[in-house]
Amino acid sequence: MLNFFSERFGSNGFLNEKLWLGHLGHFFIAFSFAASLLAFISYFAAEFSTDEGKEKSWKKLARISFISHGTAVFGIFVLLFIMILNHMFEYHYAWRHSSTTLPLKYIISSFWEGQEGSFLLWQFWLVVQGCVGIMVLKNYENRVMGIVSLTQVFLGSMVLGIYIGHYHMGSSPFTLLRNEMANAPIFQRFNYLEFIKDGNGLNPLLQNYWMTIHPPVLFCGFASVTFPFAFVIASLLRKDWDGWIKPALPWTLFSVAVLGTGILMGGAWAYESLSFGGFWAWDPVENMSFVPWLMVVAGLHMMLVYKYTKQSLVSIYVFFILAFGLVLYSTYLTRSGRLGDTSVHAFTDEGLEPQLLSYLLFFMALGFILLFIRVAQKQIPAQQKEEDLKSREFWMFIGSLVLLLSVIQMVFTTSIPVWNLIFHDQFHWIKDKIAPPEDVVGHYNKIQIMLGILAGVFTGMVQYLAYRSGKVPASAKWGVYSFFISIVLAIAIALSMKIDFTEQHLIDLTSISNKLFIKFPFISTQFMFLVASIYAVLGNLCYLFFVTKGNLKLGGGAVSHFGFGLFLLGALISQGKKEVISINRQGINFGKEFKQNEKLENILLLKDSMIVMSNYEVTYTGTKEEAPNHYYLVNYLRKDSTTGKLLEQFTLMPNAQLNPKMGLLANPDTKHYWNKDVFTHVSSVPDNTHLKDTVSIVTVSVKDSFYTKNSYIIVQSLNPTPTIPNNFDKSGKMLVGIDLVVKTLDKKSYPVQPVFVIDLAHDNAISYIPAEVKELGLVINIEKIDPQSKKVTLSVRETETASDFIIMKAIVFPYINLVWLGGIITFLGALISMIRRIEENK
Amino acid sequence: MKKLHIIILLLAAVCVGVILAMTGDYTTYANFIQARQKEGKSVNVVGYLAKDKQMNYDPQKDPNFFSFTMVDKEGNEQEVEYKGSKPQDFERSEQLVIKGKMSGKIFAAAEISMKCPSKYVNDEITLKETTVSVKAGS
Repeated sequence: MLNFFSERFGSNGFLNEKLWLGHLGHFFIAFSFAASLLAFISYFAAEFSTDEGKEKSWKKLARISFISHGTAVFGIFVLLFIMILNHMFEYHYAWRHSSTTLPLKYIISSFWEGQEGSFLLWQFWLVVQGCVGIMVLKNYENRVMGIVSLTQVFLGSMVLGIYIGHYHMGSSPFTLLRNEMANAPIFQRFNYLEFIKDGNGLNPLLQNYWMTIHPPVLFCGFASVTFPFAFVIASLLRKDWDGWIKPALPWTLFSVAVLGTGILMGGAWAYESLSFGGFWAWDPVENMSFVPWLMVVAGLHMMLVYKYTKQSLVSIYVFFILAFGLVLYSTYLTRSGRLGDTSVHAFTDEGLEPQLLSYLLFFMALGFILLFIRVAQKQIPAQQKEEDLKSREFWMFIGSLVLLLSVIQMVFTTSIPVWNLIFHDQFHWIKDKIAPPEDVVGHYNKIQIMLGILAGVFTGMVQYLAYRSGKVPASAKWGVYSFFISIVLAIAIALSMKIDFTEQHLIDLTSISNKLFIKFPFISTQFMFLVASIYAVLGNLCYLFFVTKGNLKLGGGAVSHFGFGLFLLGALISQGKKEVISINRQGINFGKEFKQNEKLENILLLKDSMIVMSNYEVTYTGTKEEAPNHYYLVNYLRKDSTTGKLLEQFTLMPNAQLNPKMGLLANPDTKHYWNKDVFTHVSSVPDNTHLKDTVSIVTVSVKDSFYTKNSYIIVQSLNPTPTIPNNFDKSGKMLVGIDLVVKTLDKKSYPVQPVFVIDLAHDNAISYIPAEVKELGLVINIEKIDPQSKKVTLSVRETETASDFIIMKAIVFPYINLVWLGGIITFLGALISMIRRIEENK
Repeated sequence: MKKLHIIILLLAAVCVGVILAMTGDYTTYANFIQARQKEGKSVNVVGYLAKDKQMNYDPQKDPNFFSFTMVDKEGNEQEVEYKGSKPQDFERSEQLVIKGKMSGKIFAAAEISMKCPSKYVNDEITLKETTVSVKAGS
C-alpha cells in the first residue's frame, strides 16, 4: 500500500511526477562538473610533474576523469531527450520549449532552444573533440586537454543550478515546473499534471529545418575555437615557441571549416525563413558569430607565416586569444539579454550575466596577462630582420590586419548596448542613449566593402609571392595577367548586368555629374569590389593551374581562396542586384521625403485577379489548410512577350502559421533557378475574425427602392400567396409575402421574399420567415405591416463580407547560389589543407 | 623604425578614424518632444500604441500606408506614419520601438519593431488555469 502511494504520488505527494529523471539528471550534472574539475587538476599535475611515473599516473587519472565527465554529459543529453520526447511537462524545460504537437525534427530543435540545452550542446562537442584530442595530441595532451577541461568546468557551471547564498550559479534543465512557478495556484493540487495538457511549444520562428541542423554545427564550431586557444595558452605557459604550431594547424583548419559552415547555415536559415531580405543582415547575433571566425582565419595565416619564416609569433597569440574571447563575448551578448532591443534572435536573460561576464574576463585576463609577461620579459623569440615589401609574409600580415579591422568595426557597432550600459547607465558620460544607425545594413556595408576589396585582392595576389626570399617568382606573371583579365571581365559583367555605380563611391561626385561615374567607374567601391572578387576567383584558378599544376592536395589554400572569391561575387551580385518585383504603383504619394520605389514593396493581390510583376503574371488563387499551417497559393506564369506562348508556370506556397500565441507568422516560399531565386513572402492577410453586422430598419411602400451597404433593393409587390417552406404548417395562419429584388453593383440580381405570418388561431400571434441572400451576407425580415398605409417596415441585417486577398512581397535574388557554392568550396579547401597538415605531422 | 611599427601606427590611426566616422551614423533614443526639436533627424522612440486612437490601414486602397498614434514613455502622444504593411498583430503589441524622424506634424517611421506579450519569454500559466476552473466546476 505504501509502495503504491509513493509510486503514484512521488515523495512530495504529486500525482504522476516522474522525479527519478530529475534526480538522475542533477546527479549527472554535479558529477560531470566534478569530473571536469578533476580532469583539469590532474592534467596540470601531470604537465608540471617532473617524475615520469607520477606524470603517467596523473595522466591516467586525468583521462579517466575526462572520459567519465564525457559519459556524464552524454547521460544528461540522453535524459534531456527522454524528457522532451515523452513530454514530461512536470519539468520546466520540456514544458517551456516543446509541445505534444511538434514533429520529431522540431522536438530535436527544442533541445537547444533554451540556454541550458545549448550550453550542453557546446559541452558535448568539446567532449567529442576532446576524445579525439586524447587520441592524437601525444606530448601536447596534458597541457591542451588541461585547458579544454578548464573550459568544460566553466561551461558545466552554467548548467549547475545551485544557490550560493542568494546568488544562483547556472541554471539547470532539470528544474520542475512547480518550483519555477511556485506561486501559481495550480500547483496547490496534488494532481496538477492532469491539467497541464500541453507545453508552451517551440517558437514558430524556429520551426524550420535549418534550426534542426544549424545550431549543432555552429556549436561544434564554437567548441573547436577552444583548441587553438588552448594551444596558445599552453605555449605561453610552457614557453614552447616552436613545437606547437604543427600539431595545432589541423585543429585550426578544422575550426575554420566547421565554424564557417555553421555561420553559412545560419545565413541560409535567415535567407529562407526570417525574411530579412537576404542571407546576411548584419544582425548583432550574426556579426558575433562571424567575428571569431575572422580571427581564427587571421590566426591561421599567421601560423603559416611563422611556420615558414619564424616571424609574427605574437600576432598568432593575439588573434587566437581574441578569437576565443569573441566566442565568449558573443555568448555574453546574446545570453545576457543585452541585445534584446537590437537583435531578432537573442536569448532571454536567465540571470546569468555576472557569471558570463566573469568567464569572459577570466579567460581574456589569462591570455593577455600571460602574453604581456612573456613580451615584457622579452622571452618570445623575434626576428630582427626587416620585412620585405615583396615577401609573402608581409602581405599576409597586412591581410590579417584587414580582418582585424573588419572585426573591430563589427564589434564596435554591435556593442552599442554595452556602450550605453557603461557610458550612459553607469557613468552618465553621455546624455542620450545611443542607438544603432538609421540604415544598419548601409552602415556596415560602406566600411566592410572596403575591407572586402582588400581581402579579395590579397586573396588573389599573395600566393604568387614567395616567403622570405624577397625575389618575385616567375610564376607571379600569372597573378598580374589574371588581374588585368579581372578588370576586363568586371567591366563586361557590370555592363551586361547594368550595375549602377553611382550608388556607392569613394568621393561624392554625383553632385557634379552622374555621367562622371559612367566614364570613371573606377572610383565606385562597388566596381572595385567586383574587380576584387573576380580577381580572387581568377587569380586562384590560375594558381591552381599553373603553379600547383592541378595538385589539389597542395592547393587547399588556393581552393579556399577561390571559394571565398565566388562567395564575395555572389554576395555582391545577389544583394546589389536584388530586385523587389512587387513594386506597388498605385497607392498614395508620400511626398518628396521618400524616394520612389523605396518603400512601396508590398502589393495587394485580390483573389483571382492577375498582376504583372517583372516578366511574371502573378495570381493569388486560394488557400490550402494543413494545420497549423495556412498556405496561400500564388501562381506565377511567364509568357513569351511577343507570341504570348506560355513558357513556364509554377505555384509558390508562402505559408502563414496561425499561432494561438504569436498570431500570424509568415514563412516565405521560393522558386529556385540555377541563376536566381524568386522569393515570395506574405506580409499581411485580411483579418476576417471580427466581421461586423449592421442592422438597418427601413419603412417602404410598394415600388420603393433603397440602398444597403453593398446592394440596391427594389420592393416589387405584396404577395398574399407567398411560397413557403414545404414543412411549414399554414393552417389557420394568414401569410403576407413581399417580393423584393436585390441588385448588386456588378449587376447581379437576387429575387427574395420574406414572409409575415399571423396566426389567427392563436391570438394573432406574429412570426416571420426571413429571406436570405447568402452571397451578400444579407438577411431581410418583415418587422411590421401597416394595413392602412400599406407601408412595410423591414429590418435588413448585413454581414460584412469576408475579404479575400493577400499583401505580398516578391524579391528576385540573382546568383544567390554563388554564395552557397563559394562558402562550401572555401570550407572544403580548409578540409583539404587539414588533411595535408595531418599527413605532414605523421 | 621598422615598417611594422609604421603599419601598426597607421592601423591605429585608421581605426580611430573609422570609429569616429561610424559614431556619426549612430542615432539616439528620444521621446517625442526631443524628436520634434530635432525635426528631420533620425531618432529611436520607445513607447506604446495608443489603443484608444484610430489606426488607419486600408490595404485595398494602399497596402503600403499605415498610420497610428503612439505614446512615448513620458506620455507624449504622436501620430506616426509608416510606409509599409501593418505588422501582424500590431494591436497586441506591448511595446513599440520606432526608428524614424519628424516631418512636419507627422513622425515618419522607417522601421517599427514591436514586442508582443511574449508568452515565450514570460512563463504564463493563466490559460491553463481557466481550464482548471472549468474542470473543477463540472
